[in-house]
Amino acid sequence: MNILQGFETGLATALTWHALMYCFIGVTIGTFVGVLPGIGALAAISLALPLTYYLDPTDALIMLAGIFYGAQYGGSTASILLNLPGTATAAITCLDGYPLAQQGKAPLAIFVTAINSFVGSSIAIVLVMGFAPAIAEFALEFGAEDYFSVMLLGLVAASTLTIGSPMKALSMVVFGLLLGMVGTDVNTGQFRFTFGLFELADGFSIVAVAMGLFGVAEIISNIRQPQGVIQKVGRIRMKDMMPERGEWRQIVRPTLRGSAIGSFVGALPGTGPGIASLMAYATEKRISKTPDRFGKGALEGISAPEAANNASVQSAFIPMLSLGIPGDAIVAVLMGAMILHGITPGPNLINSEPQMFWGLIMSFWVGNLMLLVLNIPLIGLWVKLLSVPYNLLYPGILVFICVGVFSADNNVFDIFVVLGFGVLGYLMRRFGFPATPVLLGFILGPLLEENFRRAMLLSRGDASVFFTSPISAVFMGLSLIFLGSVFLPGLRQRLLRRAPVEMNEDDD
Amino acid sequence: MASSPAFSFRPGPYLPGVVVILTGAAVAAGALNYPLGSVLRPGPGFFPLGLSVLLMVMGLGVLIEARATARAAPADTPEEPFHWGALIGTVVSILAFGLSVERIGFIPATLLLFAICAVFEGGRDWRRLALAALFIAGLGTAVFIWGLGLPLSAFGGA
Amino acid sequence: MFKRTFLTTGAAAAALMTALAGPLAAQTYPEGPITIVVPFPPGGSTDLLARQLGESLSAQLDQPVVVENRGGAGGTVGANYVAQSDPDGYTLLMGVTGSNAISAALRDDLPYSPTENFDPVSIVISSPLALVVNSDSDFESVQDVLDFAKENPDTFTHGTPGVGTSMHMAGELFALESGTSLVHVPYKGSAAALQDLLGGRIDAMFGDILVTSEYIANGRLTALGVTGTQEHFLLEGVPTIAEAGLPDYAAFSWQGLFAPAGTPTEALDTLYGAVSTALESEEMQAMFRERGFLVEGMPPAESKAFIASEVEKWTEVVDAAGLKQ
Repeated sequence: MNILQGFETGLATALTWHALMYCFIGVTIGTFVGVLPGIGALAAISLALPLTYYLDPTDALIMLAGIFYGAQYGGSTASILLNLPGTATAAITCLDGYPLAQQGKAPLAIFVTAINSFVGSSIAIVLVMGFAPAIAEFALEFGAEDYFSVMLLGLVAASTLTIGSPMKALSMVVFGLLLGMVGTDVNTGQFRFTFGLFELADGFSIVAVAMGLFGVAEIISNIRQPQGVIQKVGRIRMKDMMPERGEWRQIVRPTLRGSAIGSFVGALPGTGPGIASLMAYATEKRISKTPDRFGKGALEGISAPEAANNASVQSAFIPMLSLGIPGDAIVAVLMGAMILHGITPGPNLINSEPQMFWGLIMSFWVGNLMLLVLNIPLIGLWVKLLSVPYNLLYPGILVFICVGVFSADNNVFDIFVVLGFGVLGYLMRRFGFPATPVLLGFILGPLLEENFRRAMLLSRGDASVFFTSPISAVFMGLSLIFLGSVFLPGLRQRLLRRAPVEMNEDDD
Repeated sequence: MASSPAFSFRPGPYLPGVVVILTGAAVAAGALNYPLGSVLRPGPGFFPLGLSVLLMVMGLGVLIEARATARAAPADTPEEPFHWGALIGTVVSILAFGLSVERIGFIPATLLLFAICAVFEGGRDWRRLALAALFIAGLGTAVFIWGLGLPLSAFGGA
Repeated sequence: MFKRTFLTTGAAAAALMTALAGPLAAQTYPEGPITIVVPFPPGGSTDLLARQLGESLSAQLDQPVVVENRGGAGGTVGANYVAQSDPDGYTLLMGVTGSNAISAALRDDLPYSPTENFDPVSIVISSPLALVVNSDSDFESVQDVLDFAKENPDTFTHGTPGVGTSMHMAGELFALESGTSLVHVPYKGSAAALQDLLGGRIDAMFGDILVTSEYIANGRLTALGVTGTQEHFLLEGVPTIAEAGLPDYAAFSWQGLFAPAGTPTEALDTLYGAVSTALESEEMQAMFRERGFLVEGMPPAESKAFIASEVEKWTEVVDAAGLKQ
């Protein structure tokens, strides 16, 4: 079946009234769970999955996938408005999104992220349509040493994210890496730093870490600020949302670069939107001629990561649909949904279930269009949230955060974890330690360690594999370039020229 | 609580660095419990130990930086007050929610969380707060319990 | 004559009593909703089995059956939750090889004991695994693998979804019984292991039959043997490992319904009756065929003995391989 036929089959499937309806339900749920801090796409899909047992498999998948990419649209909204990420992956959007809101540009920022999300998704969908099998085969070429090098590049990129004190930021990267070590050691099964708690055997949940460090900590610092985030919100006019010509120009390239990075990272099994948005942000900051604007409301700083996380979510379907290998936890649940409908994703899926494959992909277009149409009118509604007094708003947010982390494993233990990280996050802020590097280290740490040790196991202790494997060598080279061009002169400059400027709060 | 002024908490410029070093030391002590392996065949203790040593070095760096900052700008930078009230209020309210939600149900636990927040906040506006609490309790019940089927009850134990 | 009549009447009365008592007893349990805890996130095979079983139990017992997912630590968090629940028959566990046998062999600090803290209702299904290699590899039979592993100790690599999974144990048992030493390459989940097997970076996998069968049909992977005691219907023509060179070898993963220890026998029997009826339904049978499961439906006492034998078996393997944590 060629692409044109696929197009037709897919449209015929995706445009039936029931597919449209389930797609709409999915993206709507997705938008809302994305906006609500705490409950994310993984929890929502897991919870909604049993409800789809009686649906037609294609409809079920269309709806669940809609929740997945819909959440990426909504995730940035809370980051921008309240400086607390709606989903763990949207944490990086706080960096520049919240300053934009403080400048009164919240409607513009949300509008821009909606456009970024749409463009990022679209580019990745084109890749899924045209090249899914080829990309999946390429991803199969990635061995442990190659993964290690990609993650190392991510880590190097993360260390360039330092705003304020470089030593504090770097120490937080290391601290994040250490947090990632908590739990079962993949290679030996040894429990590390679990203090006898089996609840910690799988490590800290990323949702609890992100919601604690960003969400709860933000709330603690904001309570009793007489102003809080309250702003005068009048009627939102189209003019407030639309970027001006100069602003359009500012976001075009970052959006395209973010989409490319996101598509690449998403197609690699085992990574995810968090890594994609981090790499996109770091890249933008690195190549920007005015890196100082980052963290103070640069449109590039929200465009690239938002395009990247949406692209990565769409391209995460590549290994699943063309090889039957789920790229991350959420796709694994979606694959479970297919299996329980009697369809086992594998290398034959595209040929054996063309209607499902193309129907799903066409539904991505439909869903993304719906999201765009849905999200723009909602901007006014979300921004109005800012006029709710903070003392009425925050206990509700706390409830959502608690229930959200609870829902991951239906275990109250995670509520206490989020509380612990909230207190830690507040203390860190208070003493000028940034939280983003912790999250980055936390995401990358386990991947780095696991792949390093697996590479050593498979190469029988030969460390040269990191340079003899061509893919790994390329990424090692990129890391070195990154290090050389950013880190050394930056550090020298900082130490020589001036005493580092403390960044006490990233919100004032 | 509400009227107590958030008093200034000045731990000295070196505390953060010291805390980082101590954290590194504690982790290192823990990591020694696990087999280390070798560089080319690392065991489960290898990465944690290496990273904790690195963290201690970073802590030293933070200390040095703090020294440089203290010299450049003597300690007259206005410090933001430490929000004890907000911190304790949030801790108590989340703890209460976490401990009670499986026993007394989602709606009472939500109301409890709001009430504790209000006490620490010095709730000026109990009526609106109660409305907000009821709204969130209702919305949460509809979305999480009826909609998504979380194993929680609206009222009473799960 | 009288005597006989009396006896007959007595027997009839007794029969009548039982007939009355039967439904009466059944009415005392269950009186309320039953919760089946699945110690994994939704979407996996255990979740699906629990939900289908739950649906049938609900219809038969006329009470709602709720499936709750309490994942974490390879099933041990959910299992521990059930172990500590009231033994009243209203909280049950869909336990698996890992949570209800291997973990006891592997971890000293496991907060519960699979043999002492649970009363099994039934081992519901079992499924053998398949020893699969990349089709481009030189291994064409189990014997090839045995020969290679004997000549090259610590060289043959097999990937698993993690330490202490039934795939891992199948590999360790293979090594133990053949007197070879293989290199265990653990991953986080089977997908990552499968990826490296397809990419040719590991030699083999003791894999789930359902998942690997797609690739076997596609020609990318070759199944050398199944770990069961007979040929598997999804892999026709593939010998068992026992037939193919390792005589006593057998390894299964299984799933069963468990109640906390001390659950009234009446409740266990009622549940077991409902499980056996459920297993006979055409719908369940079709699902099992599709997923490559073998129907077990062991009664409670037999299940209990089976669990004890499994714990013993895997403890031996774990000890021999020096895996005890």
